[in-house]
Amino acid sequence: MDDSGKEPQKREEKDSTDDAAKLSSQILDIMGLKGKVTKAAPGAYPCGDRDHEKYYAVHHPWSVYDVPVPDMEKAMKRLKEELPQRGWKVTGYGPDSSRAKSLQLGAEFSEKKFKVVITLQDRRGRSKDPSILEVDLGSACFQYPDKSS
Amino acid sequence: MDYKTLKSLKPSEFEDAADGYRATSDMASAAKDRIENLVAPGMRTSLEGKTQEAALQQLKALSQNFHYTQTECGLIATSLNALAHDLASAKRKLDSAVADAQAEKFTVNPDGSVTYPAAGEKTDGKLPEGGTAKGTTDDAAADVYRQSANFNPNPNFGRAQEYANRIAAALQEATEADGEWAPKLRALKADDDLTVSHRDWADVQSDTRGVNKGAKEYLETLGGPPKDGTPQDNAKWWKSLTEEERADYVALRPASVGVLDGLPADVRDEANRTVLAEKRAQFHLELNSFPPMPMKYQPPTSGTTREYREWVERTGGEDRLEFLRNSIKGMDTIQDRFDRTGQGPDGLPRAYLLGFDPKGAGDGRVIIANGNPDTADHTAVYVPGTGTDLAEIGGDLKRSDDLWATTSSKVPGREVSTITWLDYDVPRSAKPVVEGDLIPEASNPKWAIRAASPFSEFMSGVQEAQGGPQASHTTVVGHSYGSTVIGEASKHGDLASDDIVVAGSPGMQTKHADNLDVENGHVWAMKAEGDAVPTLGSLVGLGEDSTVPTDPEFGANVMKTDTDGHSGYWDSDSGRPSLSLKNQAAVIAGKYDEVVLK
Amino acid sequence: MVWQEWEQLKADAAERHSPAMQINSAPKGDDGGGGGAWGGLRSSKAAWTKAGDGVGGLREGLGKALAKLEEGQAGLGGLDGCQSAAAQREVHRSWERYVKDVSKRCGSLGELLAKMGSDQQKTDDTVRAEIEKLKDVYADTSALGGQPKER
Repeated sequence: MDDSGKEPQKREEKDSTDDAAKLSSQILDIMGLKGKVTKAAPGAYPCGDRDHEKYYAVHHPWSVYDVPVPDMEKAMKRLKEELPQRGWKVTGYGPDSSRAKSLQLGAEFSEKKFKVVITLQDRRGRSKDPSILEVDLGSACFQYPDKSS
Repeated sequence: MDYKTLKSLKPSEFEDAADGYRATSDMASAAKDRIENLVAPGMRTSLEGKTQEAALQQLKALSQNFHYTQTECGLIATSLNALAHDLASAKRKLDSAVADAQAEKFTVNPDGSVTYPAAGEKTDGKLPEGGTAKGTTDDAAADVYRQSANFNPNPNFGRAQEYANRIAAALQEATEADGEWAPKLRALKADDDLTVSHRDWADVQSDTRGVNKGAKEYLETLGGPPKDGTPQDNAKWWKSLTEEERADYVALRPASVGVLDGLPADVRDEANRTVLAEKRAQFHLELNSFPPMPMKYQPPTSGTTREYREWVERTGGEDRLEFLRNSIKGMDTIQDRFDRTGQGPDGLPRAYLLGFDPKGAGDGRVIIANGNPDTADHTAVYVPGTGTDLAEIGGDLKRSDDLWATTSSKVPGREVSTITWLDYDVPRSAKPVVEGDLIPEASNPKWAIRAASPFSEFMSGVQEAQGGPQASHTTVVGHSYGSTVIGEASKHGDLASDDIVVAGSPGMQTKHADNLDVENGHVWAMKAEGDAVPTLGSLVGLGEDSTVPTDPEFGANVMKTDTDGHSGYWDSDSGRPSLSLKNQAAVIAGKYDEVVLK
Repeated sequence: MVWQEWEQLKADAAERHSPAMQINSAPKGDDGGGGGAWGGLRSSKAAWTKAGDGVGGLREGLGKALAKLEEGQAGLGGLDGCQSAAAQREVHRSWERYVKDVSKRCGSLGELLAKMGSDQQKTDDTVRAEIEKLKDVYADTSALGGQPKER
């Protein structure tokens, strides 16, 4: 994520990962689907090339599946309409550059510095594996707060 | 052993005792698995801090208690089975001789001698006397008895002597087996403390050798894997054994079992983990007691000192030291992978050590799977390239982890297994002058040619253990010279794979993708910005007609990359997988339409 | 002699499919709790308790193993004149002791871990000190000049 050269914000890792979890829950809420969602929790990772002892970024990948594709399509529409009402800015909505030309939505949540990419992988007719709504939520770099002595 | 003892002995009772140790060994194995793959990972993901570290250390030590119990009790069970086998053989001979003697109404005495009644032609109105024949196992003495039987008027003498001799022989066989096994059993007594030290593992290793020596005949009855068998042959042989026989074979020959293509992954894993524990201990002990290097040079005398040369001859010198240090580094790396189980957003699955040998084909053998390939829906086998060896395997293992995580998130609800395969003599360098080679070793296809067969066999073994070609969707991923290995293996129509992915390939020994052993359209190639290896490869001719897989005329699907250089294909940024990585994952997951092509 | 129970435990441990949550109704968004669907998955108390139970639970299998070891000795009593039988008796005694000691170790460690998860929580440092003390209990006797094994 481009911080425009600004020094990353100091924030406790637990707070940042909690924020990611909240934002993901918000997205899930808007989707309004009945099915399965992967359990993996958000995690902190080294941030680009920065010193990994000082800086980190949060990443939360998850998917929804066991949901009919038409419902997923409706969910994508709902996201496009409702995310802006919840403080998100939609940066893209259209086919991705794969052969499948899967519908992809990109959005930014600048206040807390998060970006999300949501892709609808419609696998009907081309795989036995379930179709999924793939969500990739990531944050800007944060800084570990100074340790109190 | 005396007659009374062997007569009343029931060898099956040793087998019953063996069952108790076998059950203990199985319990210990399950407990160790539970600690390593459930309890410890659970703690690692949820907790942190110094207390957690201290607790994890204790867990590790406890796990060692179970691993030690598993191997030693396994050896005890096998020893008792082998002892029972040897005693049963002696007892059969005893019972047969006694039955024959008693059929003639001879008496077998408590000392094993045979009393025969008077018989024969009367002289002076008296029958020739009966007597007692004492058995001998001495050939010369037996000959003497045989001669004298010709002169003995009592025809019973000769036969009684024969029975007594057979009894003596049976007793001797039993005595020898008993005498051989008693010390071997004693060596298998449990340690008197709960710290499983390097010394303890080295003892397990020597115990195994001792039991092997004693159990030679017993092993023969188990038979062994077919000589030069295919993975199918090996699988067939394994299936033909009973549970008991399999357990005995693993206890006696963990290194052989660990390397048998076609056997189930969990069997190979268990055997190789034992080898790993033993080798780690052995090498630590050797390193800790390595005699210090004497002065190498002593000017004005030219050349090396005598003391130095003697030290090299005795210990293996600096080469041996380097081998020990590198091997230990590699083994620590493997252990690190075990310790990573459960971590990461999707929870890295338990690892299966499908192959381990510090020497291997020259650079060590390390074959590790994330998750069980036998039950996976999608399987990937990653073949690393130049410069890889046991000591430096860490980076490759991480790539396999990242491939696993990225692929798994493409197919939630499905099982994925990614395997790192290092089992070939790897060329040192791909670029000129690096590693001192003016012409890089990797410009020579001979390493790939030699690697082709072991690689094919391995892939065939995975397929066999999975249950056949339809059981799992399989992709091989070759990096750099690893792709040349795949090309060689595949050229001859012997590669058990559905898709081939190559990254930074300098050539695959063929000029068109359709010559590779996957269906047309199932070859995927990548070359990142700043990766010079494919160009170098085309110049030295690792491709045919200077064609490399990313050339349009090769006919592969060329995938888009967003990473830099020869080694960035598995990079992530802030946790987010690069397009280079995601494209590989799309192929591994069988989601071809989700690949972004160049 | 592989027990059904242990096989089942092994199968559970394998966790064959990627873990998933069922969403039956859309969860409400910012509920102030730890992040909706993904919050609260890292409760440390629960993790300690689970670990403690996991370790303590191993005692059951150890107990069963002891019983099987004992069962296996049934026919081998009074085989004087058989050196291997005498050796086996010594081996059995040593492993009976070892298995019992490992069981005790599981018990102590399990209790200690579970304590971290209970309400009567000692301070972090106290528990860590207790864990460190365990090291001495189980130290290598050969380093202290203990019994060398007969080889």
